[in-house]
Parts: sequence; structure tokens; C-alpha cells
Amino acid sequence: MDTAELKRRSEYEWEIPRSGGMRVPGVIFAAHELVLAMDEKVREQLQNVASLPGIVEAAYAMPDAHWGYGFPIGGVAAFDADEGGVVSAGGVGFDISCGVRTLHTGLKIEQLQGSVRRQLADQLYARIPAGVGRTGALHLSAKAMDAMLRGGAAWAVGEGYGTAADLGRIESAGRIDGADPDAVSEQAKKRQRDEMGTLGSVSLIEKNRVRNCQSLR
Amino acid sequence: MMSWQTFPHEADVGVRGCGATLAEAFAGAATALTSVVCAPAEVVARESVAITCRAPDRELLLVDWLNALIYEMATRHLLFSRFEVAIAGGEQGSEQGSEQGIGRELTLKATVFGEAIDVARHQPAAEAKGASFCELRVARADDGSWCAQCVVDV
Repeated sequence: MDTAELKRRSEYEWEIPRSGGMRVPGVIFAAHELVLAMDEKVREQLQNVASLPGIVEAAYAMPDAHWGYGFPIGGVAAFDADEGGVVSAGGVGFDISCGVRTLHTGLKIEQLQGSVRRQLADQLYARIPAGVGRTGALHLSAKAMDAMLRGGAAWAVGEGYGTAADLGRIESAGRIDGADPDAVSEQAKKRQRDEMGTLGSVSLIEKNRVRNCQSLR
Repeated sequence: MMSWQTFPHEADVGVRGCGATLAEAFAGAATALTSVVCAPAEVVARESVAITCRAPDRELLLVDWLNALIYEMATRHLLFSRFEVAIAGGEQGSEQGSEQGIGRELTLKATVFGEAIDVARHQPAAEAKGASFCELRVARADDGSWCAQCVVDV
């Protein structure tokens, strides 16, 4: 993305000034190099989001923002219902179960030198079902599927797929009060059946080294 | 003559089918959908599945059609390579028909042919998870041919 038309608010904050039908400005949080690498479609889509009724403050884009459907992926917006705010089902695409999880191995980079690195990658691939055509070891009956949908992450812990401490690291402890399995169609449940216990078809497992941690506050 | 292709989208992929009739264009879009996963020529037409969709206009019908295929692919673990499609209603093909075919519900009836996914042989590159309204277009060209396209979530 060309930064010439952006207003730099601070080192990591870039403003797309209001123009045309935009009700609020667009704001991108990213380093200069990341903004330069962003597709022009991010700007276009952010401007579209900024034009939606009821939008509050600004249409925001996170550092990983990229071309989505209506919003850019990595787009954030709040809408005020009292100001005619909209509800967008397709705001950030349809991967509503998408998530990112960091698992800390405790290993040092020195312990992952040479062939160990390759062996670790092969083991992760062998042990974690991911990709098209791969299924998990978990096959739920209709009753168990409903219990899983109602209980969320607590259900998984109850089945032995985690520890109680894990729940403390998940938003809302991985469960929403009032979850109603009857509101999920039989078709959707059938589609989920063979994907239980897998990482899905297009997921990535990355091994990353943590160099340092920073707090913005 | 039916033709198909994919077109780029940064996060996902677009599928497009063109043909002399609306049904051919829909069959082409379905072939392009298979091509997102693997080479359609590698998929042998061993078994068939019947699919029926209804929608108030052509574009919604395309999304429903592709989503019906994606559902069958996901739940039966099948890939499809041949599509016998018939579309009725909605004044489709009529010069007097409204731009989107609105007016009468469209019904698509299809028999699709394919085989179970074989990871070693088909080398699936991605899974199509759903058809979207992004870049959704079903239109007739000046020469009377049809093209149908949308972006699918992968």
C-alpha cells in the first residue's frame, strides 16, 4: 500500500483520512514495512467499512490485515445500534472458529539445531491430524456432539483433552452460556463429525522463536 | 462450449465457469471448484450424487450450488469431475428476463460424478470451505453465452 496518502499518527498508527462516503477515518496499526506490503484492497475495504451506518470512532486494521470479502481480514469495527449501526455476518469472512494459539515448549533454540528440527516437524505432522482428507481419532455420537457444543472447552477438559489450567487461558473459558445445540443444523453437525480432533484443512503449525516480549502499556 | 478457470484473490480463490447456457456455466464453476483441490482430470467419475437447489435469483443459486457441492465433498469425502446440470424457472435465458433472473424461483437439478478422495493420488492442495458473495456475478455476454463466478473460502 502506498503510504503517501496516509497520515502517520505515530510510529505504528496510520490514518486513512475521511473522504467520499466515509463516516469515520480508517486506522491501520502496523510498522511501516507491513503497511507497504499490504494490498491496496485493504485500503479500499477499510474505506468501505468506514462508510457503514453507525460506525464508531474509526474502521481499524490490525498489522496482519489483508484482502478479505467485505472487511479486510484483521479488520475491527464497532457499530452503535442507537445510531443505525449495522450487524455484518460476513465482517471478517466466515472462519468463525479460526484462532491462533501459542503453545510454549520451554525449549531453547540451541536444543533445536540440525536434524532435530526436521524430526520435530515430522513428528508434529504425524501426530496432529491436519489437511484435506485427514480425520481425527475423535468420533462423537449425536448426544456427545450436543454435549461438546454446550460445554465447549470445559467439555474437552472433562474428556481428558486438556487441563483445568488451560481454561484460564481461553477467552470466556472457552464456553458461552446459553449455547444451544438445537440451533445448529443437522447438516452442520454432520460436516463437523469427521473434523473433530483435527486442526482443520488449511491450518498452519509454525515453530517460532521468541526473542523478546514487549508490552505497549 | 463449457470452460472454467480460477482467478486470484489474496486470501482465497475465485472460481469461474462459462458456457453456451446457464447450466454449462454452472458446471464450469463446479469444475473450477474441484480444481481448487486437485486437477479435475485426476478425478474418475465412479459414483454419482444427486443435488437439488432452489433460489430466488441466479447469483444466489450459484452460491447455493457451490455450497451444496462443498457439503457433499466434505461429508462424503468425495471429489467431483463431471456435472450434469439442468436449471429451470426464473425466466433464465430469456432476453426479457430481469437482470438477476428475479421473478420466478430457479431450480437446479444435477447429477454429479466423482470418486472418494485419495490423498496420495489426488494430492489435495486445499479444501473449499464455503462459497461467498465476494466477486459474485452471473451474467450473459453479448454473444448470448453465460459466465458464473464467485470467491470461495479456502
